[in-house]
Amino acid sequence: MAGSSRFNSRNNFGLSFLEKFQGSILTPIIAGLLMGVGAFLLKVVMGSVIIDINIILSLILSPTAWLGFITSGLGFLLFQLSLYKGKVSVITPITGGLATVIPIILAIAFLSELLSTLKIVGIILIVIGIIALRD
Amino acid sequence: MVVLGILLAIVAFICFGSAIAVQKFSMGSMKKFNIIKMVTNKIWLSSIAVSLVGVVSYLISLSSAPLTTVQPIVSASIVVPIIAGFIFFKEKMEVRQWLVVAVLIAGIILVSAF
Repeated sequence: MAGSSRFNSRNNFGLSFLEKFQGSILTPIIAGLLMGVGAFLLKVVMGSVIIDINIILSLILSPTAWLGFITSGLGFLLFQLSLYKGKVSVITPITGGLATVIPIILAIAFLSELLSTLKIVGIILIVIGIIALRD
Repeated sequence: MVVLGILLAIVAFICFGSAIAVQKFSMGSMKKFNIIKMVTNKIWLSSIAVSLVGVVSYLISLSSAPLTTVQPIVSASIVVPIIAGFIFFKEKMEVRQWLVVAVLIAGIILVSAF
């Protein structure tokens, strides 16, 4: 082990493709996108089930919920990977902003949710912020 | 009851925010990115425990205060790791970048409040 600086893929469950994402600004962006899509998928499931004692069963039996958990989990993993090399004060607003905006945009597009003027202003501010922080 | 909800939202704010700062501390001190080392690291695991406390207080706060009050407080939790990045991790950012971060946080609060 000593002297080996190679990315150890054997200890990362074969996720050696993660090596390419180390230190890249794309990592927090993809992390935020995945977390946002995952949150949206869970919102779809939560919106369609009646909240009662069967909620856990509904979540376990729903493929959409599983997809939501896997997507969010992968996003969380990429967020940890970006924390490994990057600045926390740049990464957190990028990932946090995307994870907030993506479910709202998807909910407007697919769940026909209503949009207020101030929400539009907020979305624009977040998108501008992410584009400006990227470089 | 609304006051209790707001207090619990503030607890969630502190938990979620400090969890990311602790994760940065744990990941930043790692020599190589290794998932097994990450999930067996006591400091990293403590951040997950703190997050879970945050989730519980967030859910209870939602039952006693409106979502449009709770959500902006909880969403604003990303300021904690940003401030920690400046104070503890000595991350250097230009004035322009600080302004962009402030704009982004304002956007997140707007989106979650309305």
